Amino acid sequence: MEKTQNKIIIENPPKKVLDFVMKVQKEKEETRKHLLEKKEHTFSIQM
Amino acid sequence: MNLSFDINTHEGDKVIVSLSSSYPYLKDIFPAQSQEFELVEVSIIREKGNGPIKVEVFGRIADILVSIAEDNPTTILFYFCDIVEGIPHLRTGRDIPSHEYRNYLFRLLFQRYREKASEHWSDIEVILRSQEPLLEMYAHFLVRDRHLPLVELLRKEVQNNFETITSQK
Repeated sequence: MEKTQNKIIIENPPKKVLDFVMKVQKEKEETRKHLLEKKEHTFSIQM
Repeated sequence: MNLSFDINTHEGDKVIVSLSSSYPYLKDIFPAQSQEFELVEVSIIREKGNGPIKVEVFGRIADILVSIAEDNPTTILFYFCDIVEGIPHLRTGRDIPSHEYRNYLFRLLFQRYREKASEHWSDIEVILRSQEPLLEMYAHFLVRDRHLPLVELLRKEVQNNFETITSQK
């Protein structure tokens, strides 16, 4: 595992870690859907 | 913390940004330190537009993130590069997975963040490399110097293959 100060890199993690990553990706999909359905946000910016 | 904002450009692009501290997984790595920090997840979603987003939009996102984070002394920002949907590339002809490209974009965003910030922040990248590109992971933690010891806890957790997280029901 690489140990540079600002990077944590792990090569070929075990399956349980990959399963965790897949779970997080699914959570992100749900977050995306929720935000796209949200009608109002805390504030809006025009550029 | 739980807020969101959208940025609309006159070119017709719309980007939604949310900051939420209701993300449970990583807080469980540091239960003893949860009084000292607030882990806030940043999500950045493209709602409208097909071409590349202007650099100025990323700059504005960075400015707002700095403003919010520096108003909250215990905040650690966390960004997970998701693989949902492809994104237009700044340079045509490149073909890399969405999450890897989002990782690249977030590094650019952090450059502006650091320029704008009045405090010293570090961008800690966590990368899991796999034989299968879609199973790779890219994540960023933006931390102040006083929270860097927490990064060492994270490093150990990764070294232990996420034992704390993956052992939970």
